[in-house]
Amino acid sequence: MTSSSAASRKALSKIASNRLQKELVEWQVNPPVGFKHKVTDNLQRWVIEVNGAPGTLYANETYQLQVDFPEHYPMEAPQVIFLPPAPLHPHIYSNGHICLDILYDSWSPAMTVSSVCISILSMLSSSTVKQRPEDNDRYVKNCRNGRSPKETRWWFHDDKV
Amino acid sequence: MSFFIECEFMGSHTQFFDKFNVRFEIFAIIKTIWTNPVYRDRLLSEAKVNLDFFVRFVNLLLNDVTFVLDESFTSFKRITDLTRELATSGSTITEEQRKEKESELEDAKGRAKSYMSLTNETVHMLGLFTSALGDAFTMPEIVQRLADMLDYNLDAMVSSKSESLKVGNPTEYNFNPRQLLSEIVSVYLNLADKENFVLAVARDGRSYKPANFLSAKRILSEKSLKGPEEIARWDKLMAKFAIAKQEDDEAEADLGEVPDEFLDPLMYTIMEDPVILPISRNIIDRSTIRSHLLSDPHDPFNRVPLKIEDVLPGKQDSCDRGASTNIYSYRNEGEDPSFQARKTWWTETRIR
Repeated sequence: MTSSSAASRKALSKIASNRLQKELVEWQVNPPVGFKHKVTDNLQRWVIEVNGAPGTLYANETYQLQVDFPEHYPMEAPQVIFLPPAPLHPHIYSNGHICLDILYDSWSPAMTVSSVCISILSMLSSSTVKQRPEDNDRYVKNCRNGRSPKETRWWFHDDKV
Repeated sequence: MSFFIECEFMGSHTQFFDKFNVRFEIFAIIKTIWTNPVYRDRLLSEAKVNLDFFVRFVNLLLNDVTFVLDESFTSFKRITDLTRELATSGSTITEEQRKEKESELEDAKGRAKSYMSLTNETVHMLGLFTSALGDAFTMPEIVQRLADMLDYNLDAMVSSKSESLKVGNPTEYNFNPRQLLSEIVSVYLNLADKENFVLAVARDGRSYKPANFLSAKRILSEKSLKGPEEIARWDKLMAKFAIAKQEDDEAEADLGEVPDEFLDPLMYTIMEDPVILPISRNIIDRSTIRSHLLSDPHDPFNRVPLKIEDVLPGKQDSCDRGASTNIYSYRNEGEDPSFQARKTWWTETRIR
């Protein structure tokens, strides 16, 4: 299925909004630990507060994730980025783009916003050093025209962090 | 000769399937092939024997149409906006800002032009293929997306949203709105006899608007884009949509709150034809798993490679009711007096 930026401009299909409503209810009953969904009336864009896990490099820090859903969610992956300031992390670019396979090639419709959040938190928690990816400047420059991370061809070279 | 082209076509098709960025080159090949009547006939007879292959093809065609229409319309909107900004801004913007906007406008025009010519071709192809291969388009994994796409673009063309498409000189971009509208309506008409297409249009909760069908009718007859016979068929189809919508709403109200175990675990729709995935043992609607496998040949729950042939059917003959793979759709069984008993049994089986 296409994963162009065009998809995110279109309104959610009935199935997508139905599924997101269910996910939202589930989130309210059973929110993932360390996350807070900021309530808005926009089902297609969620803003989620992330608290760094205690005992990790990001303890006592708070960041914001922005999740945009495409027309045919969950058959297509949502677009997930950090709103500025993005945490310093070897897989997170200064423009908020996240190098994490499940957000792109390895997305599966069986995943949920909640499971994606947990993966991102675990990626943060396992980091041993606070730094930007090596190619940060080059990458961010390439994305200047508001390019979506979903249009990037990602190389997932390292699964340790 | 024809065999050679066919191999070429198959090979390219797979390549296209794997690599998104060669889509337009492959598209050119398909276009060339379509103009060859010998080959076209082969394609159509192939479609009858190899429906699954064609469903994949139709899926790609549908992706193409959706994408190029969207890109074209977005470019037009951008042109309209930028032109207006440039015209009204006067001296309120600096020379540099103006230059920037002008170059953006040129960019949008270029995009509109190239996407619009692709749109014309793909929509035309969609028309040809829907007239010949209705069955592939009304497969459950395709039909809802097709209906959504048609409704959405019809809405863009005939509702108040169409203002943004009114560019100064549409012919510069090969944009012929009447022709395009007429072709889109033809696609609807081509599938008018397919019950699940009618239902899919009615179930599209986003852009299903009876007023749009009426506006389309008005434009089509005023500009004599369609003959009286086609307009009559359009009227009939509109009535069908309305009935389907009403019946579907009533059916939904009758069902009330559906227990979770009868809902598809990914889409949260009522499963019409539940199947079991062989390794993860998850129960899912056949249309969902088929649709997923079109873009990703793995079990969505555990990423084990999966083919549609491997899923286990949920429904079997009623005498096999004790079999562990026997599951039921809520909708189909709802009126059966023994439904409650089965439901309990079904739930127990599932937990086990």
